[in-house]
Amino acid sequence: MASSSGQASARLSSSSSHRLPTVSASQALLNLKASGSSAISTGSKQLDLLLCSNGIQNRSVTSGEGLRRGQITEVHGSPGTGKTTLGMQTSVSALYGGDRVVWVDAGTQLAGPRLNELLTSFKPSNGKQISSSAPVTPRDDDIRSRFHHYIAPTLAHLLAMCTAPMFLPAGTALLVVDSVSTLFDNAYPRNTDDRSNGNRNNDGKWAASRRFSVMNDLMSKLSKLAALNNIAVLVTCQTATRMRAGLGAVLLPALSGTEWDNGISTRLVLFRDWPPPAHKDMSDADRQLLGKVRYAGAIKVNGVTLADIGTVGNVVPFTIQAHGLADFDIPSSSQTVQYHTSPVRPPKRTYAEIADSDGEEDEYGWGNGDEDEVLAAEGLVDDALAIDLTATEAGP
Amino acid sequence: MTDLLQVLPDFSTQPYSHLLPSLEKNQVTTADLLTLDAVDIAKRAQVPVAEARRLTDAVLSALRGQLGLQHDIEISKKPSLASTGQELIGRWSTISTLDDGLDAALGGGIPTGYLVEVTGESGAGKTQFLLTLLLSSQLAPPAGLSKSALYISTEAALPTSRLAQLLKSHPRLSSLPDASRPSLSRILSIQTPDLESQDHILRYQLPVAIARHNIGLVVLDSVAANYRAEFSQDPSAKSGAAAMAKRSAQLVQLGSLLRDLARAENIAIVVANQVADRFSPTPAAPSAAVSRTTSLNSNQSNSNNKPNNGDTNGSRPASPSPQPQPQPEKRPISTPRPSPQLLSTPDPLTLDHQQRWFTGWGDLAPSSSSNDDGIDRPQMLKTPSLGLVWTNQIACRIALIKEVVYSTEQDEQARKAEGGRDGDEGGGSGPDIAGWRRWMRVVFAPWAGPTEGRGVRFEICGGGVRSIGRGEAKVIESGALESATAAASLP
Repeated sequence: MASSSGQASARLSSSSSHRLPTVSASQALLNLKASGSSAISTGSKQLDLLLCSNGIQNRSVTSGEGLRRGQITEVHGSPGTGKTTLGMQTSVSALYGGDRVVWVDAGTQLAGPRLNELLTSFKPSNGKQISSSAPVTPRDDDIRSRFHHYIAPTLAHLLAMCTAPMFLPAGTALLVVDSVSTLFDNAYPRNTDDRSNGNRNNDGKWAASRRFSVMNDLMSKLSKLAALNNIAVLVTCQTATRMRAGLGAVLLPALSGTEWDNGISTRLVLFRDWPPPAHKDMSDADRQLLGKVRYAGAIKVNGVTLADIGTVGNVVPFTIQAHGLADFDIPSSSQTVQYHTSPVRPPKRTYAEIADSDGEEDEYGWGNGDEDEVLAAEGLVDDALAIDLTATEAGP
Repeated sequence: MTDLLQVLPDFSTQPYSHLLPSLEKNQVTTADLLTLDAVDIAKRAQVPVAEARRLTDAVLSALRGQLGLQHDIEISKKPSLASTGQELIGRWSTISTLDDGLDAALGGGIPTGYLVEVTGESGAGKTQFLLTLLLSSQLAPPAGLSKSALYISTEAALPTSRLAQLLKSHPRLSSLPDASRPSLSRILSIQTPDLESQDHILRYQLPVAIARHNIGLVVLDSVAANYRAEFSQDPSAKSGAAAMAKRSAQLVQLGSLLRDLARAENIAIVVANQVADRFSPTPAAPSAAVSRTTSLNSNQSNSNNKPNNGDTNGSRPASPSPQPQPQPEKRPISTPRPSPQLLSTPDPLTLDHQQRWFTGWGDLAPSSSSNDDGIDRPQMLKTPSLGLVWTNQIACRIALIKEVVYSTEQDEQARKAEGGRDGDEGGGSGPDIAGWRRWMRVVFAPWAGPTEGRGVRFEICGGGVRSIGRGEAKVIESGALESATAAASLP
């Protein structure tokens, strides 16, 4: 598996990527069958199953579950929900499968000792997949040398990386971009200064539209990398808040936009909740795990949108322990959470009566600027059009 | 170019100096340069197309040179932004808190290369915690870095007398020979009275100072103070949104500045942050969390099984709540659900719910909050200042939690506390305050898991912060010390 895809990607990346080699459909099917696993395990069986549960039950061609190769998966969640650990655990699976992993840190750096911890305590969840591709257990330093780590301090670095011909070495199975939203917040801060004036000046429009154009550009670059090299791309994203009328603020992915959302084929949300109740017949070890439970919800799987952003969709629990990501068994664990609008109790006092109610959300900064971003997303088309028009008018 | 100097500080702009003003005027960023075609750049900024293309190529190859992705040009030094797995794993050093219990929770101490936040109420021990780090960073590895430390204060000046006291009375510092003992002369101090000077100092003076004085630890105490002062002055509600947007943009910039500095210089940057009170979820929020918070008041037994029936939304009557109206409209909706519910609330992604796990306050499940101490009391919930925008900037949050011990408390610890000082911080109403209990917990960190339960119990003594085991419960005794603590942490 590694060798065949490795050769393919080497051939592609060395030559110009403008033209794809012609492959007949029958040949493509053969390749697909021969290429073995088309997915990389996340370390949690339930999560892997969630990642291919889009209702189309066709497993005859694809073998293995987890992060799909050739596609972009986005994971978002608030700090401490396990986004980076999910990426690390998937990397470890890929490394033990004999493949290479490219990791790009856009925000906080990857913690080396933590990666080492996961690497040394890795237990393959399903033995057959590992044994077929790597019959002997690889040596430690061999595994570590197949992990390539980059730091992207600015958005420009990431863009330069994605277009570099030698960015992905041959045999790469997984590209992780950790905390990609940080770069966009740095390069294109959400600026609402001009908006209050009613008419924004040209510069403000330019910056707002560029944020989305660059986002789309990055998405198309990542899609190209994923498709041409047949790698899984995992992008983690932080969260921002949006106020909902009467329901309080909700956490959303910090990057969104029509094209960005379309480019992502699988979107997961990681979140936390109270640990599930302990059973009577639960062992002490299991009780210990209760506090380490996280939840993953599938918003979109393999291009099929399953739930709205801001809700959680199908949910599976998992735990993050010293040795990494693992399953957490709750009876009938994967189920849809039913949504209902619970009747809203009106506030006891009107907001005007509460002394500092208007300053409240501002003081803590929970509900800032993000409505504007969404507005900007919706207004993007108009803005871009306007710029195009002005540009052509100004042009010769 | 608006951001070329930040992206590529070493880039030689000499050949392109005639292009840059026009690009800057038209707000063309480096990212734009790399994504737009040269023709579009030229059109926007009114520069020659060939020149724009030449600049783009130069920027691209300079960036790739930094990343080690460009082999045709000879690079004098090793690419600074690329590494292999071995290098990544080998590159790790930490600053110890000089206490085994706290170090264990922190996974060894405060590592270099990260932006770490220590948050807590005034008097929770933030400054004490940071002062110890200032001293221990001077120790030889593995306890420290053998480097100097820099203390940037926005509130009170560096409490040097307390530092001297720590140096004298901490068991691990006082036993050292003079040659290897940390000294106050290797702790530099800067004061930043307002936001403008803070920004200037951090952006321009700090990198110079780090290089010149061989600094391994930068402490910023506290990060929120100047922001609060600057942004609370504008009373007009209309400009509120604009001011907030401006503030979050500044916070993002500050975060990226500190993060890049920590990474590039491989130093530890620790900031202290204040907290504000958090109120219970608003009435509009789903009722599950609210009603369970109230059921926390009921004097239930400590058994783990019994209250949990109520947690599953299913059979609320199993846990009788003292509140007579647990929102009766809730039950008919939740009963038809078949199997045990996975989630406690139908709307789990609300900020009100999720912030329990990243602020450090509020994540103790109601069933476990009547915990090791056997005290069943609602926790005073706090929220660190500066919001989610800032939370997204930091790598690690350490919460220091302070809880009052009343002298009317019936249990053993409070009895022990008898003869302690009267509370002067508590505000007067209610029972007398016999003392404080403190916990440290790691809320999130890339290198260590969150601390379970309430965290590591610690106390503040003459030698600084000291963790205490579950068995021995002491309340702070010395009144003189407590006033020193208060003086150090309050403005």
